[in-house]
Amino acid sequence: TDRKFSQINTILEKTYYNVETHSPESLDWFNVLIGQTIQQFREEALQKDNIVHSLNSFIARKSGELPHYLDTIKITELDIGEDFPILSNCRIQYSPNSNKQRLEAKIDIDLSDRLALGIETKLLVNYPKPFTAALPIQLTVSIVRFQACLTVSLTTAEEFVPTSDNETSYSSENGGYFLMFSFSPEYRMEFDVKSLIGARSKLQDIPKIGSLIESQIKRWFVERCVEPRFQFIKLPSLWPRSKNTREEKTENDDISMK
Amino acid sequence: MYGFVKTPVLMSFEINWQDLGDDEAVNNSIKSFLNSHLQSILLPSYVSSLQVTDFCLGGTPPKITLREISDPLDEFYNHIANEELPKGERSENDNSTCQPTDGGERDLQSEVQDESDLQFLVEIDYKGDMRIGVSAELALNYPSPSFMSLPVKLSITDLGIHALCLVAYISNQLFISFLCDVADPILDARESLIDLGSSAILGKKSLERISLIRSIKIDSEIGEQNNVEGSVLRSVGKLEQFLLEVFRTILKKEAAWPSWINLDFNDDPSGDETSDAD
Repeated sequence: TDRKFSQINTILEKTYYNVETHSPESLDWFNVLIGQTIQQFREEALQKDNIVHSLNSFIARKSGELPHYLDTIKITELDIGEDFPILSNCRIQYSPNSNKQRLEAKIDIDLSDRLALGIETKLLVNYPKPFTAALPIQLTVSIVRFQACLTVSLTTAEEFVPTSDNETSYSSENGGYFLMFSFSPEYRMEFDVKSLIGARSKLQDIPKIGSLIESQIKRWFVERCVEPRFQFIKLPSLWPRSKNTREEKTENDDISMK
Repeated sequence: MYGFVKTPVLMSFEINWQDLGDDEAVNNSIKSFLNSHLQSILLPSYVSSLQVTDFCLGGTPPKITLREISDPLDEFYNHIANEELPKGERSENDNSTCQPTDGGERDLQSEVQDESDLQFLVEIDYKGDMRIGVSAELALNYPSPSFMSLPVKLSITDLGIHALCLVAYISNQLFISFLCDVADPILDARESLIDLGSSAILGKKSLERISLIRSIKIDSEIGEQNNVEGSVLRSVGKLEQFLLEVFRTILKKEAAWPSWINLDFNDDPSGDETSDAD
């Protein structure tokens, strides 16, 4: 353990980083690369109908697993946004409670965008008989703002336990390095929930429905990636290998391929 | 005569009544519910037995309009918290097995409280063709006590209700409670019933409230040779009045705030247990 402490100090010394005095960095270069990646994802998904179709057929396949009080779900809208997350204020610090044996990067993240999902379904009343009554529901849930402080570190698996028991592959993955990230509990996630409930007589934008959806999403989020929980992702080997080697296409190569 | 609903009425729920109205199991379970409550009623001297012989929901559904959606009232949580200890038993009847707890009601209440709990305030407008058949033994006390006993058949029809009703869903339990008639003056003063913790307000003034049953028709049928006998007819009239009161009381005692119908889907998938809040 003392060895680890001195290793970390050597790294900090030799990378000219003093955790006490180093000023925070912007991550502008990283934002550009991330933006490019997201842009590419959006382009692939440009025909939004394609995603809607594949999501709808996915839901149709899974319809047997839906709770009995829900009718089939139809996706009516999907908005994958047009802005990019902005990361800033990056600084390296000792992980709290690690006795100065682990380093982590703290990064502020800010996203103003509209990521929306619209669905249509029916709430079923199954008493006294199945399908006795149905209450039509139209919902559009959008995330419009996300602000948080992100903690990122690279680590080995030995100090951590999975939160679910069915993690069978866990032991075999013990070797190597992991990327670990988590959001601080003081995050801000703003939603815009639109709801229309009822058949001929409709109730619109009921606050209780909004808070119900919000709490479900936040619960999902908190259970996965808010401190003290974090995501723990195995990093691939970066050792240069021939099967990972590529070169740029040239005119001649294209012809010779044909 | 009311047929199937064809006119465009404002309602929130699509109701699949065709399957329900004729369903024998449903009709029978309502029949036995009514009978179990008739059994606990103290009969007047001129009635010697009272029984529901047939029940039919009929072909016309109620119109149900959703008015508000909110968090369930505290009373429902209190009820669940009280039930948690001796499972299925009412605590006041069963003090010996009721464990004393240091935490008290509030802690238990917050334990069962969940974000996904939901409460609907709905408007129920019913003017359907439900039929209840009742058989009774009429005791003629004239000229002498228990002079004669006459079988009487009564038929209850034309039930009309237009009321506000709370429907709360908490941890796999459903609570249904009628609040008041839609024309009740108690509604004039407030925007939202739920916001004001309707419990206290509605609970205390129940006597002054408009009856939940707007209309009800009772016809009786007795042996023909007695039709001309004035004293028999008087007693039948009294019996009709009595039955009317009985049905008003059942609705008020079993299903109207501060009582409710509690359907617990946790232990029994068919879930037809009913209980009131007392």
